Amino acid sequence: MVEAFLGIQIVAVSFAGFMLYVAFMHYKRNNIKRTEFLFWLTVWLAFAYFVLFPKVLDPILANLFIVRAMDLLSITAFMILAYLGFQNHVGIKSLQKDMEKMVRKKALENPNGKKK
Amino acid sequence: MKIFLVIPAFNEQGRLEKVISKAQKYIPGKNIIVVDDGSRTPVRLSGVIVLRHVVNLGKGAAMKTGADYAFGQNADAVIFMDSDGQHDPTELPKFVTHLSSGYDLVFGSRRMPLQTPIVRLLGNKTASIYINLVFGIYVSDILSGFRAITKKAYLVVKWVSPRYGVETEMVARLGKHKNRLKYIEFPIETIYIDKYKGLTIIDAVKIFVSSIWWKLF
Repeated sequence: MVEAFLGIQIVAVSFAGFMLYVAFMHYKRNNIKRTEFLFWLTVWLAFAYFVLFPKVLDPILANLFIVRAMDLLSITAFMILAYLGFQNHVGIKSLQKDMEKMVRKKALENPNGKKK
Repeated sequence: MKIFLVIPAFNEQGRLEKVISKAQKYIPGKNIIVVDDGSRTPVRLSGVIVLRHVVNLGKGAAMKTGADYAFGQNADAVIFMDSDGQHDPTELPKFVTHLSSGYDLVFGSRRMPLQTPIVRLLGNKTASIYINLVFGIYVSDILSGFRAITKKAYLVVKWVSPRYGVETEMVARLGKHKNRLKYIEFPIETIYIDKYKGLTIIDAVKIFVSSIWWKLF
C-alpha cells in the first residue's frame, strides 16, 4: 500500500515537472507572458509540494470530509480542467464566429474573384 | 419572380460542371451562384457567379453566403441544390411553380429506393419523427438539401448552423413559425453517388444536441 502511494507521488511529481517544462518552453517562445508563466509555475510547484507533503492538507481534508489528500488534488484538478475546457470552448466558438464573418464578407465582396 | 439557384460546393469540380450545364436549361447562368466552400482547387466556371470561401466553413455557411448574395441582388427566392449530382435539375421547374404559387418554403423530399442503406433510411425517418414531436412539423425527408426559400422565409428561419445541421435547423425554425409561413414538400428522384458522403453518426448527435438549443431560443 505504501509502495503504491509512493508510486503515485513519483508519477504526480514527474508530471508536474513535465508541465513546468512545457510552460517554460512556451514562455521562452513568447507564446505566454511572464505573468502567465509565473502563474503556472506557482500552480505546478504547489501541486508538487502537496503531493510530496500531503500532511499539510490535513486541516482542509478534515473540514471538507475528504479522506485522502490525493482525492482533494484530483477534485481540484478536475475543477480546473472543467473551467479550462469551458474557456477553450467559448474561445474557439468566438474565433469560429469571427472567422466565418470574415470569410463570408470577403466572398460576398468578391464575386468571381474580380478583386485581387 | 426573380429566382436564383445556389449550389454550395466543396471539392466537386468534376461533377459540378455537369450539374451546372444541366441546371442552365432551367435557370439562367446569371442567376446561378456557386459557393466554393474552400475547395483544394478553386472552382473555375464561366457564365455563372462564383463566390469563394477561402477556408472551408461548411455547407450551412456556404448556403447562407449564397442566399445573402442572391437576396442582395433583389432575388425573390433561392433554390438550393447539391453540387455532387445527386439532385436532378429537371425538378427545378417544379420548385419555380410552387414558389410562384405562393409557398415560402419548398422541400424536395427524396423517394427512398429499395436499395437505400437501412441505417440511412432509419436515421432519416427518426429525424423526421423527432422534429415532428419537438417542433410540431413533419417533413418526410428532413435532410434533403434540394429545397427553396423565399426572402420572407429566409428572414424568419435564417440558420446559424455552419455545417450539416442546416437542413434540420431550417425545418425546426419553420416549425416554430409555421403559422407565418406556407410550406410544401413534393417527391423528387435521388441518385445515390457516394455512400461515405453526407451526414455521419457524429453529425447526427451534434444536430440532436443543437435541436434542444433551437427549441429554447
